[in-house]
Amino acid sequence: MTGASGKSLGLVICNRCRLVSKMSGKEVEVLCPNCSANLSARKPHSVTNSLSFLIAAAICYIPANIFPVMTTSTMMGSEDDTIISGVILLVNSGSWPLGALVFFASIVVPLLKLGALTILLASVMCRSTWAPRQRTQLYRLVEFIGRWSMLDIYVVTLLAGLVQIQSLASIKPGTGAVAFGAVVVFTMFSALCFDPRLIWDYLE
Amino acid sequence: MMEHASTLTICSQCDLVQAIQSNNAVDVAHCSRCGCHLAHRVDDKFEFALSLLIASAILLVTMNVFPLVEMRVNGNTRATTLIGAVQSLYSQGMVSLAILVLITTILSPAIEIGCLLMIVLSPKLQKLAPSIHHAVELIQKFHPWSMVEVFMLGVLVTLVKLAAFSDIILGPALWACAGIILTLATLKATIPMHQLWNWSVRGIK
Repeated sequence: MTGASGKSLGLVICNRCRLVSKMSGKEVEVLCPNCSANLSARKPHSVTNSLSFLIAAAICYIPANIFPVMTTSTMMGSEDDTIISGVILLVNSGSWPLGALVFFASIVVPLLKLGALTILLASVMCRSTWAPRQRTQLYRLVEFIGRWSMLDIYVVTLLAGLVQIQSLASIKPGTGAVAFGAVVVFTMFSALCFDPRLIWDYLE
Repeated sequence: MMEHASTLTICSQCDLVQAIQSNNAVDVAHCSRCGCHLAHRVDDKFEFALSLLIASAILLVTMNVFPLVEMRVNGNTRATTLIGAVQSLYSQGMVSLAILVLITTILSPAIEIGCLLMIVLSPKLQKLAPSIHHAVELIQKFHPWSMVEVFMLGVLVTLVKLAAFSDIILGPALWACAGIILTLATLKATIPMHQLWNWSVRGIK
């Protein structure tokens, strides 16, 4: 299916009030005549920003999986839990539906986000015309599921807040949790910076 | 058959210029090229939005003031509030995590609900009108970072983990949390961003 893009016609839509207004190619900063929001045909420096955040996320992903997300100290000694060992523990303790949920939120979702953003950015940088509709859907998926990988961060926060019974057990968050939080934040920024309209630019 | 006027719009995800029927002729319009949601029927549900927002504000206060869960092990009792959990992260040296949890579970929902209330109340309180576009901007900035629903799931996972070796009592904040998810989701589904803007403009006039 073909059609004219807003950019080729010199039209731009305001993402605050939905007003379509004219915009010549040379102007850098244009304000919406209706609500004075910033207008731009494409998100500025979309690929560079998105790629930088993606690389930062990929680097943080390694310590996030190596270092413990929390340490449980009991009278019998202390025990470190990484993200993967936490999932295995849940599955072995019999609550496999919960294990599957945590597996999905803390292992599948981050990997899917890193993979999907790599595909999206690589295809845009190669000026690919392959499956634009599916790639746009992939972008929407990344935007939608991205937040769910915060699950493990909240579990650690609550456990560390609740399990502080000196004589019995205490839970302390670990460096892995900080790195994992960074992965979630960086992939979310990467997705926010990415402009899906770039996918369609090379088709015209 | 009645003819419906159509307006020009541009898809925010693939930049295709296309015509959609205006005046709420259809329930929902999708982009003909990439399938992205373009617009949906908006009835002027001003009172509905206001009541949902007041409910959200009450729930927000409840969620932050009362304990989330209480745990009982061998005669020891320990309860935590949302801010208490953030504080304990902070005191354990996890400053960055504490900030992340603070922004996503306390600040973002509060900013979202506060700004929405400002916009909805602006026709009644003229004093608020000049700062309305800052409110709309803040909502757009903070919306992706408001993660109450993920937090709720996190609470449930924690409860299952703790239930193995302690008695758990659910606190009022947990129910408030569930309520906020419902009210905010309903608001988001019934009132799109540009409708907020229309209301805020009406407030200025």
